[in-house]
Amino acid sequence: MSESYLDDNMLITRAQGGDRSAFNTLIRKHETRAYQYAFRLTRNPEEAADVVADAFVRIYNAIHNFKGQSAFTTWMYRILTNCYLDVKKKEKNRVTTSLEAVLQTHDGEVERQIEDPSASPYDDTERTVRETSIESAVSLLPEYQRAMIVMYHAESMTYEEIAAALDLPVGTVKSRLNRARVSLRELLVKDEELFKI
Amino acid sequence: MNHDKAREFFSVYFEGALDGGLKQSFESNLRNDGVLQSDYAAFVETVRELDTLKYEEIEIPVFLSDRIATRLEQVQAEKKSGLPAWTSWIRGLAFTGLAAAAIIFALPIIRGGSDVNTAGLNLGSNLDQIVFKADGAKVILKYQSSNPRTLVVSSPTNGKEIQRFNLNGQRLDSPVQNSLSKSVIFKVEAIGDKSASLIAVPGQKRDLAKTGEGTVQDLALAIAGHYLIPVEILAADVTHHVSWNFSSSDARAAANQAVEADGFSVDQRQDGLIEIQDR
Repeated sequence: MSESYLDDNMLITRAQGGDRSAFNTLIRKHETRAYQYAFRLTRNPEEAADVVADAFVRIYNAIHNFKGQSAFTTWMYRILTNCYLDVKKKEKNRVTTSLEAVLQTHDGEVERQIEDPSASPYDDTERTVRETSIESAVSLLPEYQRAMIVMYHAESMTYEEIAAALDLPVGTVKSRLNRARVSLRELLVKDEELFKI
Repeated sequence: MNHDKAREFFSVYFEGALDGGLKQSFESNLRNDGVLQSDYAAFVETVRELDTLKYEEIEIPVFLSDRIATRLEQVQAEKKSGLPAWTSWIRGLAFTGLAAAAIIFALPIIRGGSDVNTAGLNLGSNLDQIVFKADGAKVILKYQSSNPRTLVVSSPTNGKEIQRFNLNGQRLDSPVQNSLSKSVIFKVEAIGDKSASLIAVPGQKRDLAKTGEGTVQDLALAIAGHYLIPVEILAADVTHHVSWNFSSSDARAAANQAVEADGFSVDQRQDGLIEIQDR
């Protein structure tokens, strides 16, 4: 029997009663899904792992408050999204340096070299350029829109589940998702124009 | 309905959920507005492309479990209480940097010795024997102890211990899954027994290489990687040098061809697991 068959509510009840192995199983059961969602938001393995770790800490701290009014996964997505938004907020608050900035060294001015952390063309041989560009375009969306797009299209969540996870009315989720898709289309059009010969 | 207003209905129209007058009005705009038509066509293409996002393969980093455990430990430390025992269990699963770090031993199901085996494998005659059962690319480690025994899982390449099960007349059913892209191998032994079991577990991606050479252990890894089938090594000498060519689509035949001249034989069990053994 795989732990994926173990019931979340049963594990949570046990964890709330102090059963540490039950909480442990809950982590094992959901960490892959949590990481995949976090990675789709951040596109960065380190950042995604931090988001997941923070989320499980928050879940651990709040497990006693979980009343089972929504599915555990819905609650987990909400916490993951909040952790991700917090990371982004912290990033924005940091002092940033312009990419075009010129460094002053003893040898004079040196142009800043930016390392491209994305996969090399050789890593992408099995994936189409189009798939790569849609992932890049998603990463350019505002954080909240990105979360909605990933939840709906990558995590296959329903509008109702997204609404529950983000604590928004279903109608708002639908209209914001539409806006996100339209924005994405515009980003992709720009991308196509950029590479037109 | 102007152009911007019409765009607000792209999703709901695409999903077939636009009703009555609004639908008629939207379709009328669509018929008469060339720009709206091309906008909508591009929108539909985008939504279809978005649906490919779910097929993206995302490799789970080997450090994830460790990262979670570390953060939980920090929280515990901040609360000035002792380290929770369960975080060390998670840390154990992170394998502290082993190559085999992505093998996940799911929570072992340990039951009393007399109940019926739910996985359909009769262990009645396999008391104190390590048994692997294939479940697709996954493996289930099974062990029925007749008396207190300790089962140790380790990396055969560097000997580092990965997991330890203390059993006292109980039965162990532990699913093992490899979340790395490549296949990995590990050793399972009961403390006090002279023999150990070696099993290669497929990774998440198929290894396309068809030819190669190396030890019997390397061959097991290659078979698991190429055919996505678990391979158990029962042969005594795993360092024997062999070469292989996986031109056949039959994993057993390809493996047998690689080792038959070297005193080994290959069997494939009903559950699909390949066994390499001494002839």
